Amino acid sequence: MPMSPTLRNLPIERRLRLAAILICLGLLALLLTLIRIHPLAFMAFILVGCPLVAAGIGIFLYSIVSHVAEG
Amino acid sequence: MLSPAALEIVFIGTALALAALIGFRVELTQARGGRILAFVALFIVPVLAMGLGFSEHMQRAESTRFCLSCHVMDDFGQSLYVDDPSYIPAKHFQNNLVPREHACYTCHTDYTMFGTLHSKFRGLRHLYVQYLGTPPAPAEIKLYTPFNNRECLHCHSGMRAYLEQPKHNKAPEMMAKINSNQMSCMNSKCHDTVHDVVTLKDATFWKAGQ
Repeated sequence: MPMSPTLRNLPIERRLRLAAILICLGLLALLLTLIRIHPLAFMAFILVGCPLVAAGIGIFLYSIVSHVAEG
Repeated sequence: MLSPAALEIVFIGTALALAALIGFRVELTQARGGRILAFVALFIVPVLAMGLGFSEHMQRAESTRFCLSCHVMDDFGQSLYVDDPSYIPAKHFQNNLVPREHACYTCHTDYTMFGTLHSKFRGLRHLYVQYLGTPPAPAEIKLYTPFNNRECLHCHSGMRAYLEQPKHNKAPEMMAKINSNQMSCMNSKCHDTVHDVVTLKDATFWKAGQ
């Protein structure tokens, strides 16, 4: 999936910070879903927690790969 | 000793702290050690946290508490305490013939190669019906497919009480028909009192077990 020009133009520090924030939000969502045993907790895990963490990981990997390429 | 779920929470909490450290102190990544830390905190640990979380949720989805957390299942949970051994689920639950904390899953999973996966997808279908469809009244709830004898025989096959039960040997071919699911354990007027939530209002319950 092509990254947006905005993300590409960000300095690597900003990208890493964005990745860290997304991962933090996702992990927080994962933690919250473990509080209750309920089907909706599982859905929140799948539909909120995992996509946020995955997006953060994606941005992090893109950042380090593109930084090496630029360097 | 911490339970696996508590360890899971501690692990995710640690992952959160590590990611937050990189988020707040991004200048750490200018050093070699900081870059390694960033790789661990923003890739390896979150991937592990997601895997552990998924595994934990899959295990929780097999618990009786999970199945009964939807209001529509209340009567089915109550039927496990009926004080009448002709109610098959109640007899199994009250006598620990199935583990109580996994009572629903033990009988309602498929004992096949991909049975667990199939059961999880069936659970997603339940969710769809519950939240995006029109959930039926408890008395109207039916299995998507008829109950397969295979699930009963997972435990009862080879069991002496099952093999030597005169009712299972009334005709010479009867045992073969039961074993091959041609004759249903439940729909052949043998073990046909299952959850029967319609009759619960007249039932008495095993109070000590609740």
